[in-house]
Amino acid sequence: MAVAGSGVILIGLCLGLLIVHFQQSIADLARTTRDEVLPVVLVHQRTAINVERLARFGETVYSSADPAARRTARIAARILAQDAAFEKSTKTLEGIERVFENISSVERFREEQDRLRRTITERLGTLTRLIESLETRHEVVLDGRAAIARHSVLRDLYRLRLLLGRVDALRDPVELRTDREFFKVVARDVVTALDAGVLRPLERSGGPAPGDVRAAVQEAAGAYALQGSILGMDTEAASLWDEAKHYLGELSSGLTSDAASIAADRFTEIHEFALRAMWLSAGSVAVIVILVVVLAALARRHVVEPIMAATRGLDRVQRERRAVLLPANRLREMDAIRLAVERLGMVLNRTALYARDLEEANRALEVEVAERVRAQAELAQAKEAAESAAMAKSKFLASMSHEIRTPMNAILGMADMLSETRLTTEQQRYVDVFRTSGEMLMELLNDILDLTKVEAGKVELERIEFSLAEILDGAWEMAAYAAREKGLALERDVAPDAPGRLVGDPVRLKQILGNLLGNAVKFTEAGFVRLRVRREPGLGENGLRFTCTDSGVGIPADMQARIFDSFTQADSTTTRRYGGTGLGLSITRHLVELMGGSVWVESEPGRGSTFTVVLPFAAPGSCGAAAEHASAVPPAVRVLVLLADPTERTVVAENLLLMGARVEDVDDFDEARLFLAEAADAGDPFAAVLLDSALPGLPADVPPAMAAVRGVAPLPAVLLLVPSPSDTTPGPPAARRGAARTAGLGAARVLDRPVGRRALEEALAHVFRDAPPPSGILPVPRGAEGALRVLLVEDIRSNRALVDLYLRGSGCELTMAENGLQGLEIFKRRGADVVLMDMQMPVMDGFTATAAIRAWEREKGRDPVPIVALTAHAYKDDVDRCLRAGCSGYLAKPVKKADLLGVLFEHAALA
Amino acid sequence: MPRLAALGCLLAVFVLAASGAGPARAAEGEVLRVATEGTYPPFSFMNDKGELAGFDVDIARALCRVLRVRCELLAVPWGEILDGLVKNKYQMVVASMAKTPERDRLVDFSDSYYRSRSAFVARETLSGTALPDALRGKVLVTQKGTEQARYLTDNYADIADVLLTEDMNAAYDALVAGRADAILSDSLQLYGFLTGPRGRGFDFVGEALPAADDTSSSHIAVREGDEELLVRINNALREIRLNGEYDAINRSYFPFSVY
Repeated sequence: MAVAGSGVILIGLCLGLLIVHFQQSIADLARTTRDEVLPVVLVHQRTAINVERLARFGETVYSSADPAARRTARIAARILAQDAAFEKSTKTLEGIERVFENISSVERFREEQDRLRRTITERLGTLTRLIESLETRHEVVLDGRAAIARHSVLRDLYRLRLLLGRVDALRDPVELRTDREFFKVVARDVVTALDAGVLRPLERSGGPAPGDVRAAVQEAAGAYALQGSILGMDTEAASLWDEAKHYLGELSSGLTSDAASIAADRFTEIHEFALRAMWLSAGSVAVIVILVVVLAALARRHVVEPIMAATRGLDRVQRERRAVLLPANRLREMDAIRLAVERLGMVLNRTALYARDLEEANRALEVEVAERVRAQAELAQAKEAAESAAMAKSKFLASMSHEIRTPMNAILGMADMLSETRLTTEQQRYVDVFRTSGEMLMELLNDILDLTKVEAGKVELERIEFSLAEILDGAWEMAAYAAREKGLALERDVAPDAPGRLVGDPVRLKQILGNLLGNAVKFTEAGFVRLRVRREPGLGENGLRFTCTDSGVGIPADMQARIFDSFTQADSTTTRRYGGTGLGLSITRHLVELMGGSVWVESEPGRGSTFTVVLPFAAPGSCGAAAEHASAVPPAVRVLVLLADPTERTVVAENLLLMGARVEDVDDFDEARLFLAEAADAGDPFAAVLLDSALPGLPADVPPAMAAVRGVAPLPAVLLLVPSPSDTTPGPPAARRGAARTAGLGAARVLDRPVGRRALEEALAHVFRDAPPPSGILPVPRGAEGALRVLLVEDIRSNRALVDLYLRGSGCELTMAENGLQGLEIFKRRGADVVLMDMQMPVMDGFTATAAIRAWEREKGRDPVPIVALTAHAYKDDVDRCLRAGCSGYLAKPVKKADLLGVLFEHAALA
Repeated sequence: MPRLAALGCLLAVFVLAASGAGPARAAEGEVLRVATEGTYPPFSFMNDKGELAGFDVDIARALCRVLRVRCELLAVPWGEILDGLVKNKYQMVVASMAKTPERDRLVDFSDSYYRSRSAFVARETLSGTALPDALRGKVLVTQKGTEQARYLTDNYADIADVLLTEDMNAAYDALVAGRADAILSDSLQLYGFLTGPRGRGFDFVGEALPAADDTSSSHIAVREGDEELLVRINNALREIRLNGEYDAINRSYFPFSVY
């Protein structure tokens, strides 16, 4: 196949080259024709023309009567005869030269002829003059014979003249001879007459001399000879010219035919070439066509057929779905195709099988997918239901929070009021329990509400400066009691490099820590609960890691993640055993995450758990102003610290100083008694003594508290610091032991060591509630005109009663309104120094009332009166709302007496 | 846009074709400065109106017409005519100039545009005698600086007196006045003289100079190396030969073909 192909190509190339060669030859021929042959033909043509012209000039020379014309023609002929074209061949050159010579000769002949003719004319003239002169002698009378003689002579002369006049017309030599003879005869007569003396008589009268006449006649007779010469020259000239003319004619036609034949030859050549080229082209085309046909046939057999066979094979494969076998081919390429088709057949077969399997799998899949989709739809529905349920719950709780808090407020308030009355220690204890329970319930409520808020994402974190130690103390307190009860060791390990002050949300932090500690205590029967505080690098400016470890029951691995979920404890049995709502960790986790930290647990059942919280905090000084607690401790109160341990003594003394107290610290019992006596004598007695129960030097027989203050008047309150329960011998539950001891020891309060600032503050606050205030402390709030006029706008009766009780004995003038509208009326009518405005009220709520009051004040041009909002929610956004409405400050419910008095005092001072 | 582009291409092709067509074509507005003698009748002379006329002039104009350029004809004395061409004062010289090797070194010559042999003319009385005897001891006159002058000095200086004049008219004057016995000049010119009024009594003497002699054909001269102009002139010559213009000019001066 390839060979055939190359063969065809080769043949094609050869033919092509041949054709090109022929075409090239034709082109060359055409070019040389134009460049070489054509000029030659042109030269021939031009020469022929010049030859014709030469002949014409020759003709002029021969025929023209004008000598000037003949001369011009001869000169022109000479120039023409010099033409270089004639020098092509010697023969031509000689011929042309001969022609010119002939023409020159002809000219000369013609000149001569002219001259002879002129001679004849002269002689004729002479004769004519003679005759005239004879004629004019007619007046001479002659006698008869003379007259007749003269007349006859004259007559003869006339005849001679006539004859002479005819001479130049004579062409024929015969005529010439005849005329000459005649002339001679006549001339003889004349001569005879002359000899006879006929003209003698005329001579005397001036007639022509006979001699002249004779001469003239003789000369005239010579004209015939001249004429003969002329005729002879004519003949000569004619023959010369004929020869020349003939030669020129032949030359001219020869040139023309030469030119024609050159052209014809060349064209014939071209024609033949063209014919050859044409036949060659035709032949080539034929050959190519044949080759193409052959090639096509070959292709058909070796290429097309196999391809068709392969195609049919593929068809069969598709129909019958099995492999095929095809006949082998000669051409390698076709065979390759065949093999490929066979393989394809096998592949297709297998593919068909796979396809079947796939179809089945597909069907099964479709069913499953439909199933899944349905399940997903159900799930989506369930999720929606759950979400809406949760949402409903949150909304419910949020709206209920106010309703729930209000009675709680009353309960706690009443408990507070009750504890202010004179109670026995037992009664006090009962009140404490009932207050504590109330507080716990409140806490639970808060937890739930908190969680709701946190889950709904409505929590706003505070960014204020606070003391880490305070928060730790606070959290500690929450767990300390329970830990003591259970006999657990409550340990605190704060790193020395831990920052004292932080910027963050202290309340939430205390909540978190309290929750962790509380849980740890709850779930530990024996052993310890340790809180470790370390710096956490890389987490804000003051990142901290709080680790709460306990030796409790531990948490199984599978529960460790789920305990952070709501309402989940390790299992339902733990709820029954340990109590609690199970919300704590959930809230904790939410809060931690909200604060940008993380919380996790490591635990082993039976070996205890470790909860770790890492939180970022900012450094103090970067934001916010520290909130100040209104110290529950009366300012400048004298406190004596009597503790053995110097560190503890310093810490406690510092705390007391921070609270605004005047502190003396001693470590010796006798020294203490000395201080007390001195102060009492000086009129600046100690209001409280902090006594270490384990102080060396205490008398053994008397309870230490009594021993301390015996004989001191006024009697200061004694706060007894007892060691933590782990140091004491096991016995009845610590609470009962504590209470009994307190009673026996005569202490106002018993505090566990280590005593935190908060605990201290609380204890002192409690103590000082009973104690008469030192002079100058806690003045009665006064208004601008005497007593402070307080307007209370509160819809709940119990709350109104509460405030009334708080303010009894304070010297304020209290007016009450049941709702905003009433409050507004009273305010307008009677005015007030301070307004206590409950925010949630029917008819007109606190916000509207406040706004109305402010508007009225603006209208009247009065200075705004302080309006203190009483709000169930102390969260930031609530506070903001109150302030925006126009309040000057707020108090969170349940309202504490001290807080209330503090606020009134503050605003009174301003007013 | 493609349509416009195609049109543009077509136009470009046309322009190119037009510009490339025919070697005889030249740029529009081109001027060709042509020099001729002006004192060499009937080839170049000043007519009654004071304009240049003659065979050379007519040939030059015909060539310019074919070349489609404007002809500016100048009359330049024979002695300076080649010099002026070399110095590019004009591009062409149509002045019946013979092509000699010496001249070919300075300028380039076209194909011949007419042929004419040089010959002697003297009083009729000398006509019959052959050369050089007929002119022995005679005074021979011709134009200075011509090939004819060179021929006289080369061949007749030792047997005759050679008189050279500023131009051919002066030579003829000398002959007619009798100051010279014979003149050597171009046959075509001599034809004019002999067949004119002043030529009575004069005739050719002896054979004309050989046809192969340089003096026997006239060429157009261009600046050395001006190939393009030369080709154009040769092609134009061929064209006027073929289209009959040459013949028309020829006939108006001479009764025979001079090509």
